[in-house]
Amino acid sequence: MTQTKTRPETEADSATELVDPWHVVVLNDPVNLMSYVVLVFKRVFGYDEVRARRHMLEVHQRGRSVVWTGNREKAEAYVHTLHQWQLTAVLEHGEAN
Amino acid sequence: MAKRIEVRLALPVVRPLIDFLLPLAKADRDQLPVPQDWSNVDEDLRAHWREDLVAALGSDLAVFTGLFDKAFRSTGVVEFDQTEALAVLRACSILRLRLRSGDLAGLSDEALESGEIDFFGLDEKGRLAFTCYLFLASLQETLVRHLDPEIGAG
Repeated sequence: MTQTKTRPETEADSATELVDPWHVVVLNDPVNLMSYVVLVFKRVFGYDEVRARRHMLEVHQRGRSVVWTGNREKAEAYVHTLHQWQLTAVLEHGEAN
Repeated sequence: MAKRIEVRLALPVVRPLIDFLLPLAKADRDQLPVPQDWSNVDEDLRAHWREDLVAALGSDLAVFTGLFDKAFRSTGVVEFDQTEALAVLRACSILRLRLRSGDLAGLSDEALESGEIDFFGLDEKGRLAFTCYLFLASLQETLVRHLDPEIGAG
């Protein structure tokens, strides 16, 4: 399976993320279980239980949740990993959530 | 040493479900169960992603079908390690998505999400498909609880 690519953080990276953010957005689906989605968020992003559950509930109640924001390369890698877990995830550009 | 997970299933109940699910798991290994929106993904990446997702799907489904082999059919026990458990979790999602777009396509998203359906209004194949759909959910819940006891504890 593809692993999320990581590389050393730099000031340039942080500046780019602020100026040119990419969002990883998870959309609701009627199939995947709530507990499964929480587990995926914890494993993929390393979120704690509270944060993972908050995103899961947002997906369930509002139809979507921005689960991660940052540079494009990492956002793409996260979207791809979420697809491997059979979640519906999209990459969105810009500040508006 | 890797922790082993053992799930004991009621063979007379589960066998017909497995008989229904195995052909579904072995078919269309090159078909993704969910159409994903890749409009913002670099064009160069799309073909590579698809290929990678198909390979991952095939691998997860192979773990699932491997578990329910001859040994399971005589004992009703499936046993796996954590890595296999994660693959089975994903395989259950793949199969539930396939059921949704196949034999359960006539059910609304709301009905599937709530589980409130007219079971006896379904034909025989639909009833079996829906029972499989619930069985896979139950297997996922069991695995999630085992892999991460914190989930669902609150």
